[in-house]
Amino acid sequence: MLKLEKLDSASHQHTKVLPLGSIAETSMMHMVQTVPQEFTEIAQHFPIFFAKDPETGQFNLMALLGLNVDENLFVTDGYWQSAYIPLKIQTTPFFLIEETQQRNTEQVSKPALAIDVDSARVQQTQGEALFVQGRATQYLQTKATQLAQFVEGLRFNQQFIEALLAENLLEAVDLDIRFENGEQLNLQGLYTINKEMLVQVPTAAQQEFENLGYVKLITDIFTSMQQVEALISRKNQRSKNLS
Amino acid sequence: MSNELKHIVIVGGGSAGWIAAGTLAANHHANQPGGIKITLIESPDVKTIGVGEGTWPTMRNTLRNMGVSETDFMRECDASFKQGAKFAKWVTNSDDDFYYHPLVLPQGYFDVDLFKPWKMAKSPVSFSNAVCYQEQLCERDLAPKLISTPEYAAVANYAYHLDAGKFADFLKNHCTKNLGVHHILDHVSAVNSAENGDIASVSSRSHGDIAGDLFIDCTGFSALLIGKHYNVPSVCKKDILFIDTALAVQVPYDSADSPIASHTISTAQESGWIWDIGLPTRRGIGHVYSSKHSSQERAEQLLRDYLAESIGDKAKDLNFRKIDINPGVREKFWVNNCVAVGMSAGFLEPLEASALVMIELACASISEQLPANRETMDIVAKSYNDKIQYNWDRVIDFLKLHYVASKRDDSAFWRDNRDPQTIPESLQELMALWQHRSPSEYDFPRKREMFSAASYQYVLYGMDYNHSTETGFVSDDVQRKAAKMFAENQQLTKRYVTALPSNRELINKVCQFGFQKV
Ligand SMILES: Cc1cc2nc3c(=O)[nH]c(=O)nc-3n(C[C@H](O)[C@H](O)[C@H](O)COP(=O)(O)OP(=O)(O)OC[C@H]3O[C@@H](n4cnc5c(N)ncnc54)[C@H](O)[C@@H]3O)c2cc1C
Repeated sequence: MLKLEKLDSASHQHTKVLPLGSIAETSMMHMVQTVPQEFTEIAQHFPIFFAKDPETGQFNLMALLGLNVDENLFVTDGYWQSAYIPLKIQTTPFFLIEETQQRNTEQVSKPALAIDVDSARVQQTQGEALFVQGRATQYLQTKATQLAQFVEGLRFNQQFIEALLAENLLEAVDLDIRFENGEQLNLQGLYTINKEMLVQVPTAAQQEFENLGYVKLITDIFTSMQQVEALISRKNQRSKNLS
Repeated sequence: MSNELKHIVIVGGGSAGWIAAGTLAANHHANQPGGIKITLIESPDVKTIGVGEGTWPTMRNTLRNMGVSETDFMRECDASFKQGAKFAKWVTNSDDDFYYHPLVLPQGYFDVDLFKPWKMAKSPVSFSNAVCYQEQLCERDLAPKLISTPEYAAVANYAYHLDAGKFADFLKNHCTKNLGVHHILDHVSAVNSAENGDIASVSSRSHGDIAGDLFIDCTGFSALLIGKHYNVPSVCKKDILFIDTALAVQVPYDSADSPIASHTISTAQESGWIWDIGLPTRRGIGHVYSSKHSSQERAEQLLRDYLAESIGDKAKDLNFRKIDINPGVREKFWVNNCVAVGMSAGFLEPLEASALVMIELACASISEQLPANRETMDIVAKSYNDKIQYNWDRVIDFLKLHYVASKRDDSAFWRDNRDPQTIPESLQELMALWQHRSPSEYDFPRKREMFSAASYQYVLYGMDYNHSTETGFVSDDVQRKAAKMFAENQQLTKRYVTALPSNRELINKVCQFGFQKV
């Protein structure tokens, strides 16, 4: 569970954050939200799928990290094994929260930086400091910038997904995998772009897709499919190491 | 060819009229140049019946076929999920007397008949609980699916409860905006014949004469075309099904987060029964009874007593709407170029929500077998009449079964219901067979039956129908299979009661986020 505290220089002046990978906190994360700014890198390492948020049923864009729930094939002994780490994970243990304030008679809400104080990386002895002499450190500023990018990417994703849904371009993936050790898996709950429907998109919408940069994203998503094979190899490798 | 069927005129804009319009318009491309033209005329003076809020799972297909989004439908028709019916006090009238007729088929239904193994095990678990997980979902007010389940898809089979008034408006909007149906708001004052006895046109007050090739009578109890014009009599069924009066009322919830039952609750009374249907914003409740067996005062009192159990003193001030029902079925449904659908064709009583599903079946059948021209219409009419007659007979049998299998002995209504004189021969025969074995799909010869043998099983065994004591032989193979099915059902029950959200929670999410198409 998360326990978020809004950051401020007074209450968090001694707070320090251990580097990512020092703690096995993402080792059970089998997928993570991804944003367009990083699609090119993501596609070189992870397959990109659409998956529904279980709470809202709304689609998100996800980088697949494992083939089973609670399995991250990219983390071994707490260390990330990929040359690129998804932005969302880079931003941990920081979050943006909506802070509502009473301004005159109006309720206004604005984003505020928060930290997950339940994360084992957050403590007071080692790691990166957040504030020095009451001012945000370079480290914290970088995290804040990454978070802003991430949130902006999510907004872009929503428009992208709506455009795809409007043209009925999303379809459920039906993936049967057979591993080297004979185990079988039917991968469920993932969606991708339907290639046959894509060529039938009316010209006007195709032009719109081009103008809005969606064509590039679609290409990245198709490219990323190569990484499914890579994931299966990782899984085979892990089974071998275990046995 | 001049006798080609090009224009269908539907008279009446209740649920029947708009389901007919939507089904025909979607299947016959009313919004395209080469398609069939569809006009619906409804009277501003004659109100729709305004009840009829329980459906069957067929409604999901009916709506999807019309191109309706499930999210829009649920939001705009104040709809909730229905996973079957709970029948209270139908068997013995004791306090713990209830059984479920769920919509999910028994586990392994097409593979093994679980009745005998269940009966021989003499377990205290009810038939419904032994073979199906849905009763447990209903008892906990759980939804039949998740917000991440695509629209119209199910985890557990489901139908809807809906607001009848909003439903007609919703379909009207969809039919006129998206499906190309022409809508005329006007009163039909006369029906004009052609030489061959067909209807040439209907006269309206301010839109003149409206001509057509096929006329669909959806005018409800007034049966303007089939009854008033063609004089096709309605065959009274009161000798079999005694219900002839309804008292209806709408009741708000205590609070905005009160649980919404995900099944119809049907509670038997002295001389009839009370329906209780939970929508997101209110409950629709009504007492249907036999006026031969009960006075209106007594029926009102029983309804007030029922309401007081959940809303206390507020029950005192409620006004009830009285609706007369003449249980009956038209002698014929399709005459010349006129076919009756909905209450103009027949109505029995609200038990098991058989009316809307019958309308869907009628519309699908008309649409699929739509004659290309006048020459072939009589052939279609003949087979249509046979088929619809058959279906009404099945509905009558199935409804009557609920009364015949009862052991209630506390009033003349229940005793009279078991008088063999009041039981159709077809039902008597089936019940004789079912003394020795369970209802089978082979008992029902048609391809599209209204109620499957599974429905009969749930009702018969829910009512502890007096099955002859010897249950016969069950092979080891069947025994093994059955044990597996019972275990599978237990596992599914456990899984679903923890995984599924409450009915209210899911409906709130549908309002906030909606279902995805995929
Ligand atoms: C008490 C009760 C409970 C019920 N519960 C259920 C249930 O739970 N489930 C279920 O499936 N069914 C139920 N039903 C049945 C269901 O309500 C009807 O089958 C359904 O609403 C269809 O009605 P309809 O469209 O045929 O008639 P109506 O709703 O009566 O519509 C008749 C239409 O004809 C029009 N009309 C009439 N005369 C003229 C004229 N001269 N010119 C132009 N237009 C005209 C009217 O304006 C109206 O639009 C119930 C019925 C009753 C009485």
